[in-house]
Amino acid sequence: MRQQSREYIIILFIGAVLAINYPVLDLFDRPWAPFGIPLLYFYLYLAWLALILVLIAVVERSEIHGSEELPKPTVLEPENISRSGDSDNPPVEQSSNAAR
Amino acid sequence: MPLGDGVIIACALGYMGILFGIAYYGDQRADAGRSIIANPYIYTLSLAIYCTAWTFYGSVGLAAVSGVDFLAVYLGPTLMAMLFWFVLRRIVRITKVHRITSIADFIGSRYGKSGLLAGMVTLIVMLGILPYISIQLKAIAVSFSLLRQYPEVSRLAISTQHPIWMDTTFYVALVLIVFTILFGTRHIDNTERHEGMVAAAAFESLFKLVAFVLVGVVVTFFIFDGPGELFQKAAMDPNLAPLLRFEVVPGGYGGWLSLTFLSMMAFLFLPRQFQVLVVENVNETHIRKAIWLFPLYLFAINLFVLPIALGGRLLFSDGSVDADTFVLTLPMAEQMPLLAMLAFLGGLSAATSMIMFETVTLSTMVCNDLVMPILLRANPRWLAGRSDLSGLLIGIRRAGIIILILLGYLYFRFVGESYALVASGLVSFAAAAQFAPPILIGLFWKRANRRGALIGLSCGFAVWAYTLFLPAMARSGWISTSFVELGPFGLELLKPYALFGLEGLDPYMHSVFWSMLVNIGGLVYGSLPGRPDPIEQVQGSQFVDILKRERHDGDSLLWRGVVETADLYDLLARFLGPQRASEAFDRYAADHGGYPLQADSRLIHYTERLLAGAIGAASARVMISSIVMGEVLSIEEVMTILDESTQVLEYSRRLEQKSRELEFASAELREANNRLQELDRLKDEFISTVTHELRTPLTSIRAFSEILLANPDMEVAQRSKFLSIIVKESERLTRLINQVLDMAKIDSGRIDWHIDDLDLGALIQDAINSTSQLFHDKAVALHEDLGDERVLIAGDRDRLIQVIINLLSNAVKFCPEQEGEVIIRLRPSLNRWRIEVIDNGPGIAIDQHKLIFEKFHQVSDSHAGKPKGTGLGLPISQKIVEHHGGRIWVESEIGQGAIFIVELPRKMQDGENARK
Repeated sequence: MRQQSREYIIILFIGAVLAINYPVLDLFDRPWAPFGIPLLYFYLYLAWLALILVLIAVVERSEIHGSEELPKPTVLEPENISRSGDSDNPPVEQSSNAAR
Repeated sequence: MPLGDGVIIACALGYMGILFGIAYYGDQRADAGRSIIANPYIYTLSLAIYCTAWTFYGSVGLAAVSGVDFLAVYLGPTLMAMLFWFVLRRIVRITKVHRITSIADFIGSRYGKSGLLAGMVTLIVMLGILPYISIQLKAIAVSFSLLRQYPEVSRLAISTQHPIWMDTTFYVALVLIVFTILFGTRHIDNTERHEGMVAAAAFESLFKLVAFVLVGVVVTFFIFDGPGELFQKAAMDPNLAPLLRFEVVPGGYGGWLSLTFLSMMAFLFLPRQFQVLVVENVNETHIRKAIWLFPLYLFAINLFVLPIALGGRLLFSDGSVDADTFVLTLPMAEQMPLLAMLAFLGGLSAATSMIMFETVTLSTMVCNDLVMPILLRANPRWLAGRSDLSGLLIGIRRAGIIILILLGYLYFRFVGESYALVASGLVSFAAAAQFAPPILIGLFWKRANRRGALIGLSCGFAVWAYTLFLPAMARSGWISTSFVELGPFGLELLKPYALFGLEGLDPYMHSVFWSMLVNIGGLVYGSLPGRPDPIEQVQGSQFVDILKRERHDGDSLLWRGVVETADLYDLLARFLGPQRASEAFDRYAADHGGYPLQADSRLIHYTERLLAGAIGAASARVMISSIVMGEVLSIEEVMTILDESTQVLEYSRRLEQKSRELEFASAELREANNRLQELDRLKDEFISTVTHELRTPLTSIRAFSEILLANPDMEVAQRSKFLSIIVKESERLTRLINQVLDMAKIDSGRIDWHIDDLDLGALIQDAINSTSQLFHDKAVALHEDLGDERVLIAGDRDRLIQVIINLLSNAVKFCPEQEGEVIIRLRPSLNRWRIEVIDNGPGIAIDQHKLIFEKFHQVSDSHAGKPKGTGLGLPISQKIVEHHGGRIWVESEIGQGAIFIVELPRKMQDGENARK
C-alpha cells in the first residue's frame, strides 16, 4: 500500500474515532427523524457507510495504481509437509526456495 | 403446519452435513494444492466468525433494551479493520515467519519463547472464554426449544430443573463435540491450519448474513410498512421512545467508548479471531481487501437489528417474549415456518462456527502450551520412549475439545443462565482484551520483556476476574451477593464494581479501566529495569522489526550446539510421524543440496520451526534443547545480532562499503600484478641482455685463446696483439660485471654512499686524468673549461668520478678519430652546478634521448658498427646523479654532436645537501 494511502487511512481512523464518540455524537442525539429514521441512527449508519465507501476508494485505488508490495520475507521456510505446493507459500517464495 | 422435533433435527443435522461436506471438500482441495480459501472474499467471510449467536440473537436483545449500544460492538471492529495494514499485517508476517500456531504461542514467542507465559495465556483464555461458549450453547438450545413449540410462542426458561440427561443443551453440546472433533482434529498439521473449517466458516458467515437480513426485511417491510412506520410507532410508545436516543446506553458515552475499545481488542485477540485473522491467513494481500469488505459485512448484518428489536418490542408489548429471541419468535408469531427455520439455522450457523473454531483453537493451545510442556518437563523419559507422538497429540486435542465444550455447558447450566447473551459475551471480551497490551506493545516496543508481560498479564487477569468474573459467579448464587454489594468482608473500597471507590461507571468500563491500567502498568514496570535474556532480546527485536528484516533466521544463530542429524530426524518423526518427517528432510536436502551428518544451526532451526508448528514454540525449544548439547550463547554474540534499529541499515551500509573497498583493492591488485608482470618481463630482458653482453667478450677471449693454443709457434707480434685483445676483452668483461653489480646495488638500494665535501673542479680533473689515455689513443682533443672558482658540493667522490669518466669515455667513443673534439665545462647555474660534456660525434636522434638512459639500450649506429659499451653506463650515471639530487640529460641532434649535461645542487649553507 502506498504511503499516501496509509496516511489517508490513519486520518480516516482518527476522524472515525472522533465522529462516533462524544461530543460529536452528542450533536446528533436529537428528536429529529429525517426520512422517518431517528437522527442518531441515521447519522451513525450514514457515517459508517461513508467511511466504508471512502475506505474502498482509498484501498482499491492504491491497488489499481499497482502499489509496491513489501518484499516477501526471504526466510528459510520449512515447506508444508502434508500439502505439497500449498498456497501457504505463494509461488514467488517457492521459486526462491527452489533457487536457493 | 407444526414443526416436529424430527423435522427440526433433520434440518439441523442436514445443515451440519452440508458444512461437513464443505469442510471436507476444502481439505481435499488444500491437499491437492488448489486451495479454495485463497482469496480475499473467503478470508473476509471467515473473519465474520466474529458475529456469533451473540450477534445473531444478542444484538437484537441488546438493542431492545439499550438502543444504540449494540452498534459499539461492530464499530470497534470497523475501526480495527482500518488498522489492519499497520497491526494485523505485522502479526501475520511474524506468525508466518515463526510458524506460530495460536495467540498463546504468539505471546510466548514474543517474550523469549516463554512456556510459562504461553501457558498463562492458555489458562486465561480457557477461563475467559467459557461464558462465551456457554452463550452459544444456550442460544442453540433456546432456539431449538422455541422452534419445536411452533406455532406457540412463549417465554420459556431453559430449565435447570431437569436432570442433565433431559436437558436439550447437553445433547446439543454432545453433538457439537462430535462435529468439532470430526472437523478440527483429523490430523496433526505442521501449520495448524484448517482450510476445510475456514471454508465452512465462510459459508456459515454467508448463511447467517442471508438469514438475518431476510428476517430483517420481512419484519421491516412485510410485518410493518417499512422503517418509517416502524420508527414512528416506536417514537409514539413512551416505553420505546428512549431507545431512539442515546440516554439508554448504559454508562453513557464512557460506556459506549469502553465497549468500542473492548470490541476492537476482542476482535483481534479472541483466540478464534486470532486463528482466522492470522493463522489461517493464506496471503498477506488479502488483508487489504478485508479492510473495507469486513466493515461492509458488519454494516449489512447490523442494518436490521433495530427494526427487528423495535418490531419485537411492539408486537410482544406485554414482555412475554425474551428480546434475545426476537429473530426467531417474530417469524414464528407471524406464522412463517420456513423463515423461522431459516432463522434457526442462521443462529445455528453463528453458534456452531464460533464453538468449533474456538474450541479447536483452544484445544491446540491447551495441547501445545499447557499439556505438552508439562509432560515434557515432568516426564521426558516417558515421552522419549515413544516413537510416534502424533497420536498422543491428537488424543490430547480431542480431550481438550470435549472438556472445553463440557465446561462451557457447565458454566451455562450453573452460572450463565441468569445472564443475557451480551452480558456473558462481554465478560469474555474483557478477558481477551487482556492480551492487547503484551501483543500490541510487544509489537512496537523492543524492550518489553517477559517479566513485564508476566506481571502485566497476571495483574490484568486478576483484576478482570475480580471485577467481572467473580461478580458473575455471585449473581448466579455461587458466592454471596454481599460480595458485590458491600465488598468482600464488608470492605467498601474493594467492591468489585466500584474498586477503590470508583463509582458511576458501568461494570465493563470499570473493569476495562482497572485491568488495562494494571496490565499496561505492569508490563512497563516489569520491562524497564534489568536486561532481558539473549533469547528475549532476539525475539523482541525480530518481532518489532519484522517488516524491515530480510533475514528472519536470527534466532537460528542461538543454536550453537552439536547434534547428529539423525537425532533431529528421530525427534521430528516422533511428533509428525516418520512419513512427514522424512518428507520434510527430503525437502531440506533438495533445497540445500543435502544435509550434513552433524546438523548445522540452520538445520536445527528448520527442525525447531517444524516442531513449533506441531507443538508450539516453547515446547519445540524445550525438545530441541534436550538433544542439542552446549547451546549457550554469549551476550556479546547476541548483542551483535541485536544492534537492532540500525542493524539492518548498518549491515547493508557495511556491505556496500566492504564491496567498495574490495573493488578498490582488486583494482590495486590488478595494477600491482601488471607492474609485476612488467617487471618480470624487464628482468627476463635484462638477464638475456646481460648474458648476451657477457657472451660477446667471452667469445672473443675464447677464440683468441684457442688460436694461441693451437699455434704455439706464432709470431711474437701476432701473439702479443692477440693477448692484448684478450686482456682488453677481459677488462670489458670485468667492467660489465662491475656495472651490472653496481646497477643491481643501486636498484635495490644496498649501495653505501660516502657523502663528503668535494671540490667539483678537482674531481673533474681527476676524471680527465684517468681518461687521458683514451683521448690520447684516439687522438681526440679535450678542452677544459672549469673556471677558477672553487666549487664545493656534497657527494660520493668515487661515484661522481664514475659518472664523469663515463661521460668522457662515451664522448671519446663516439668521436671521429683525429678530428674528434670534446669540451668539458663547469658552470654555475641557478643554485646548481652544471657540467657539460660536448662532443662532435654523430649525434643522437631526439627520439633516443630518453631511451639511452635505459638499461642496455645502445644507439644502433651504422657508422660505429658493433656497439662499444655495455649499455649500463648511462643508466648507472643517471641513478648516481639522481641520488645526489641532480639530473642528467642529453641535448643533441643527428650530425650536430651531443651535449651531455649534469646538474648537481649547490652545497647548502646549513649542510643540508643531497637528497637523503
